[in-house]
Amino acid sequence: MIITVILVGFALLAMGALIMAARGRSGTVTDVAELEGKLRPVDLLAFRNLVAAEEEEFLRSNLPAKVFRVVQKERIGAAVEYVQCVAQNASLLLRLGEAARASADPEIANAGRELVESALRIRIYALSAAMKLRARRVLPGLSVSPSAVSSSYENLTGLVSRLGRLQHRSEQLAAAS
Amino acid sequence: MEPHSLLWYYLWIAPHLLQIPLAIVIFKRKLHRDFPWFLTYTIYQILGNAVLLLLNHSPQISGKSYHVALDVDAILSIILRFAVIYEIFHVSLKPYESLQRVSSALGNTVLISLLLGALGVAVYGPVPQYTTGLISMSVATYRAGSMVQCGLLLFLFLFSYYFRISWRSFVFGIASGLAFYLSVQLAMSALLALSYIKSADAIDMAAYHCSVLIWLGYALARQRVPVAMKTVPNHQLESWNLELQRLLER
Repeated sequence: MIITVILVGFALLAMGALIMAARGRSGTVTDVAELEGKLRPVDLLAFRNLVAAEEEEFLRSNLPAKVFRVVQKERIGAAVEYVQCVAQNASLLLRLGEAARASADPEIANAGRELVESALRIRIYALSAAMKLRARRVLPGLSVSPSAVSSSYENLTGLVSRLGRLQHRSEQLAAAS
Repeated sequence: MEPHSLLWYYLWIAPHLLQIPLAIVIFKRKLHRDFPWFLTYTIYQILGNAVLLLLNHSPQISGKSYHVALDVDAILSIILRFAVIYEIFHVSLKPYESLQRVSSALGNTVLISLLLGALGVAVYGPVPQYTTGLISMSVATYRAGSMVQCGLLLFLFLFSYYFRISWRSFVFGIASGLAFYLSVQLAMSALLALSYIKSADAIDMAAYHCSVLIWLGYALARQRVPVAMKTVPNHQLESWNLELQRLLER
């Protein structure tokens, strides 16, 4: 009986995932203008500070153990929120990259492809970073390096700048011709 | 041959008749280049069910022989569906190089877990007591097959949802039609292992009918082409750059 209930539950879960995917698909951004203003604020320095081992050590040595545990829990919770923001931004930039890689201009298309790849890498890192941070909440001794997420994010913003420069150039070319 | 209602015949024959125009549309729109296994599965379903219908009405075929044919068909269908699922994974992840390693590592882990789970269900799960060994085997085969395949599609949906992968229209149509049918089949085969359900066949066939309609609808629908940016909108990117720089400098 339990196995039957589990299997029926599994079937319902698959149906739910299908509905979720269909709804997510209908929400696909088809106009780049839709992305404007959707980026969520991310302060990388604050994020680095939140996950810095030295900062943690400083707090540990200067705060009573009980207070430290509470503060550390809050810091990790905030860090997880930052990671989720970065992942959300990456998914928006992914849409921009997908639109750009369909461009007839090979350079814009190439920059779009790079943007897509970087955005996906951020989402991979964000997934593992969020898991590690959550694990650290349970096991405070676990060390987490934020560099993978933050450096990738910096790289991503660099790619967006490159797309901007390409745009300038294509406009100049259009004006010259 | 057992007497059946008109609805039962409709539910058996109609989806397979609809698969004929589906195969033609796939071929005409050259979708078979990306989905050769789905076309093979479609053609197999048309021919296989035509043969089963003939066997069902042939006085020379005993009930036992007919059920052997049903089991063979079930196994071949499951094998072809695995090929279709592989095709769905391949087509939907092809444009994302950086995801291929992660998806294949995670996909293999999920597949192994599902196979072990299916083995566990086969060993410890309930076996229908109300019928013959052959039908029990059919129920167990469908249950194991749909469990693994449903799980793989569930994984693909969740994976795509997390990474915000853009699905092309037809591949999403194939995946959703298959997931719908497999989840109904899984639920029905799990319940059938406990007790006899009179309308189980009809529900299974109705679900398949819906899936074929989904496939046909998506095959006929215009393929979604990504909105190509001839130029990247300047004002947008600059404001994005400023916003990102401001955030980075904060």
